[in-house]
Amino acid sequence: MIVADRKKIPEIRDMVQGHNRILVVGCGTCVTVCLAGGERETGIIGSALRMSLKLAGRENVAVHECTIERQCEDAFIDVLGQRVGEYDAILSLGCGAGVQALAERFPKTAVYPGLNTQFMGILESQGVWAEKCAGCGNCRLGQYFGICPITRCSKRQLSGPCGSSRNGKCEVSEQTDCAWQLIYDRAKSLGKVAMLESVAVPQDWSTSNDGGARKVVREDQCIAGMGPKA
Amino acid sequence: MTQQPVILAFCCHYCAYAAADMAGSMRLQYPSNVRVLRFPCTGKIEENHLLAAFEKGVDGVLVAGCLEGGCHFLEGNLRAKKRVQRVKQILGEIGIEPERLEMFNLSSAEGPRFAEIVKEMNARIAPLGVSPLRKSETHLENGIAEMALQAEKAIQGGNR
Amino acid sequence: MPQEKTNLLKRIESGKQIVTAEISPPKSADAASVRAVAKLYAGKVHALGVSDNRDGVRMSAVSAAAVIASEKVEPILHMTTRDRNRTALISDFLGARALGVRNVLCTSGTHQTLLPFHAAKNVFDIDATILLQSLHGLEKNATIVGEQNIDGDVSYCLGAVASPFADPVELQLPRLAQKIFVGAQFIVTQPVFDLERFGLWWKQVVGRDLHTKAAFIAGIRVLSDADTTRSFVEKRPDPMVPADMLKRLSSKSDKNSVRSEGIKIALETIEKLSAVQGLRGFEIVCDDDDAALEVLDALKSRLG
Repeated sequence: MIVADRKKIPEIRDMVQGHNRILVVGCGTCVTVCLAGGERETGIIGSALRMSLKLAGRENVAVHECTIERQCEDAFIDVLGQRVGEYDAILSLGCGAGVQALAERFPKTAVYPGLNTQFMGILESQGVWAEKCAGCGNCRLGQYFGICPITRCSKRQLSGPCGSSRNGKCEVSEQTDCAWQLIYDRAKSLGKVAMLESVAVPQDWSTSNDGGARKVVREDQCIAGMGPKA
Repeated sequence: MTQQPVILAFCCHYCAYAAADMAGSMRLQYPSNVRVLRFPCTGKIEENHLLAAFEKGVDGVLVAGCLEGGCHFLEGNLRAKKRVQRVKQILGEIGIEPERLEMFNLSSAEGPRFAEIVKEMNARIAPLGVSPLRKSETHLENGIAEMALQAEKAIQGGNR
Repeated sequence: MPQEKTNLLKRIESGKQIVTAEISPPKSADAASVRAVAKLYAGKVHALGVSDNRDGVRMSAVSAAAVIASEKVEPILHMTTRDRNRTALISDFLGARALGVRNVLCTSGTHQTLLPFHAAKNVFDIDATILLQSLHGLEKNATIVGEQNIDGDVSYCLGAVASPFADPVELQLPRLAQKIFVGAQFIVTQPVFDLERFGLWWKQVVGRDLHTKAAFIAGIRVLSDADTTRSFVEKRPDPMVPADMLKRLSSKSDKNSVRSEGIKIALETIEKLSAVQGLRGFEIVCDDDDAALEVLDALKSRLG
């Protein structure tokens, strides 16, 4: 899932400066699961923003809340359609994709992010989320026994551990596992350590965001005459 | 507008609520500005509820749960403790003194301790004064009534 | 026209002891200070390593190395994969050689989050092994940068770093073997303090016969004052300085005796490592050039 966490209230308050009617829009998908922008968090941020605005002498600003099922898909944004006209700003508690989808859909309404989108990851333990995928567009997990060195090695080493791995931990922090220790452990349990002896092929980054913003087009799914927008 | 601070006590049914009851029946003296809300467990109290109390203009909030290790639902009070911490952080960001909110632990037999806690919260709120978010007494009273109703709903849900 | 081999490469091929030192370029654009440092080390080392923004932003290592080369001291240019992509690295490599810098040490570099420029974006387009492979094969294959081949001149000398203290040890050795396989002619180790750990690692190096395929040079860091020692020991990754060594340093009260104890420890380490069969030499590193030179002088008189 996409993992995010909330922005601090003063930052949000300053962002929405100059607006009088603000709709806080939560998202029922990834950010609900990672407890950053679901219905509950929308209530919390809405309440906190109202109090913060009041203390800043802007009691008359209306802050209302609603949560839609999925901010990143037009069909689900539809339910907001009429309501948005009553507001001059939207504070999106979706991920960066949700914020942009709302901005695209409502050209006359200011849209602000209430979250900092972090990464694609998993729930590691209750309350802890960990980054797993960098979306490089050219998955090599097969070569690395299911542990991604591009995402999880702080130096994106494809050929093996750097000289700073200590006791299974990364140079960067005691909290970060050394991806290469994990790769080794797993190769060992699969009986495939010998596969790590060969020299790695350099990554072709043109399939990643380095190649510009990407699109996935499935012609078989496109409706005739309604292919990709651009 | 009343200048008397109002404190809301979010009490667990199994301990603090019984302790408050005992304090009453023991005729212990404690400030009358505290309103008690009964919850099935402090673990049932959401961050939303605590923020809502402040938004409605309450001046101080105390969350009173069972002694650590003594939760009827095993770890409800430990969850409440963490939620209180998080709401304190958000209050700080908003510009409300985080010390207006506190978590306490006590057993159902501690009537006098309940009275003490209320006095302690009052002493803490006194120098801070009335919340800058207070609108009017009516608004506040309506808000508290609404929250009490919500808490009772939670109790019914909890006992089912 | 092919150039002559670098002195470092000739020394490596001679089988004789190799002595190098490592310096960091100044935090300024002052070429005169680089020249002054080069003069200090002239005649005392076979080559002088020039670090690449190792612990903060500095004058570009390529430029500093070129200035050093102009002083007739042979530099070893360090190139980290942290700050430059394959295009910039290869282009800088060609540029360095145009300026007479022909020894290159390929490394991944300390992660920027541990350094003053922690807000910088890192690059890590390729790792040190792939960098070595790319630089080594340019005249035959430069497809990594979209070219058939880049130059026909192979008179350079490539090196890599090895970490005797890093985990997982079972992968450190294959990785080292890869570095040598793709073109590293010399290997400089991270600073050695813990000789026991070093010994275990060396056994594996010898077991894989790597010491006959590249010249292994042990890094010797001189802990010449209490403050830098403390920050060095506490830094990540753990340099594994044995507790008794630290005790010896911290038992000294005044600056001078800490300094001489630090030099003494470095010389003792060199003494013990000199007995290691197959180890080819030492690289002396110290923020205090005078302390480094004292160690070099002692080393020279020892070697005769």
